[in-house]
Amino acid sequence: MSFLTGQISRTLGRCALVAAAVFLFASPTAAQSDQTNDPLEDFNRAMFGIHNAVDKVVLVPVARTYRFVVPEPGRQGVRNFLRNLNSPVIFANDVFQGETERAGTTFTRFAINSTVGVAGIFDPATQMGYIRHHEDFGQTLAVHGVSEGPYLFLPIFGPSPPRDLVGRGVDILMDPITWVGGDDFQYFKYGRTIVNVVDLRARNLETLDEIERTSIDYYAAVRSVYRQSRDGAIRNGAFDFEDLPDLDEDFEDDF
Amino acid sequence: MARPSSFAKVVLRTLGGAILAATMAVPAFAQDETAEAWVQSLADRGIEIMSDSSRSQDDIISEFQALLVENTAMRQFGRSALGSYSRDLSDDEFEQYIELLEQYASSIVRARLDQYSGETLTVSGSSVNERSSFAYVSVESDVRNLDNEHLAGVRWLLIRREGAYRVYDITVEAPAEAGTFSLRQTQQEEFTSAITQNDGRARSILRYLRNRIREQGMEPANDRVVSN
Repeated sequence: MSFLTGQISRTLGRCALVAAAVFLFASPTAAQSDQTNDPLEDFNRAMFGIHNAVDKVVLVPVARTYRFVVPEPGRQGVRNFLRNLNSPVIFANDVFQGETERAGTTFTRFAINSTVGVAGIFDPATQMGYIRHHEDFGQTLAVHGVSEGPYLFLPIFGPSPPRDLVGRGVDILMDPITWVGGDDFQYFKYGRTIVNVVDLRARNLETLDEIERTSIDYYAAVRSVYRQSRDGAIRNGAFDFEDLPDLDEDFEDDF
Repeated sequence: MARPSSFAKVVLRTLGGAILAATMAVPAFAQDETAEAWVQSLADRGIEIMSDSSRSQDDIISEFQALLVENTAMRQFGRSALGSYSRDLSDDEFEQYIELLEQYASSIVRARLDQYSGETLTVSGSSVNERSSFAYVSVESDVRNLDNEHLAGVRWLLIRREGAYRVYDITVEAPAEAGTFSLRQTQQEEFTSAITQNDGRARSILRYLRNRIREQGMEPANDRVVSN
């Protein structure tokens, strides 16, 4: 356990250092930095380059192999199992956000899938109308008014603005699996993280490849998609017309 | 108990009438069934064009681009995608930009043609937001594969003006937790970033678009020399 807590504190310490560095050295000078809130863009682009190199050399081949070797029903079972394990974290964040109905859904899903669904390998809860959703502490902070902070991209971790970076750390602390087992259990924990990453990459091989091939600026596209996705998740998918501009000129050309 | 005076009755009746009128006249976001049918028809036509194996790829792209020009608010989209930089383009450059944007959209479709495998799109609902001289209409739809499994959600944002509709934006809830993104917002961030990388020269976006169109195996429509 001491190894574990030591590792957690080291990880959180590193996260805090990075976040502090971002806050200290974030000095948006250009107008563009104000718009995109990316004062460390040069650094971020360099990290993005390293990430993509690692992605192409390591992650993509592993993800392709995983997809080739394990058939989709098997991958789905593993995915269901890992998602079910994450239910306590989602439940806690539902509660922190005051989303009692969604907390009830998460709790019910966990109860059904852990029993009828054979330790979460199957997902009968969805068939019963309890649809899965995701929450994390980054979203909880956002719901309570904490802004994202300057954009930060870290190799392997991907887009990690301070709010979401802190959120990930808190989610690790809230996860019961973090506090279970001795040193032997470490392999399971590392394995869980690796399989989650490989599975996510395997499911997005074509999507990311296509964004890279067709975008004008792949880095900016990824930054934009990340922010929009987080914004959508924070709003629980709700759409707000008030965010749209009030168009008032040159309609004739379009109609 | 004293009966209310006639003045009080009038006030109560007026107040009651106002509340009733308010609740009836202002449904949160009204539905627009015509817009739903319009989107369904447009999507069906797009799928029909893409899945016609008897035509050459060039014919498919050409017809798809015509469909795009006819049914999208490309100028509004293009202006929005450039943000404040749109004012830096001359009229001629803006016309070139719009033409390239239409071709760029078609080139993306071209890149995806071989991935199409019988998916269908079904409209599921809509909501309306009235503005002073037009209305935004959001139409929700669902993309399903041949086994009728949900693949992605697509929100079509339309501009309705004098009974006519044009697509202004498309938001995709991508499969496999890849994220939710609006094409307009993504393009805006990409285009702005590309221009900023070129010292804020708005004309540079024309070069970027031409290069991307070429990379997708197409010849840019207005292949003029741009200095930046």
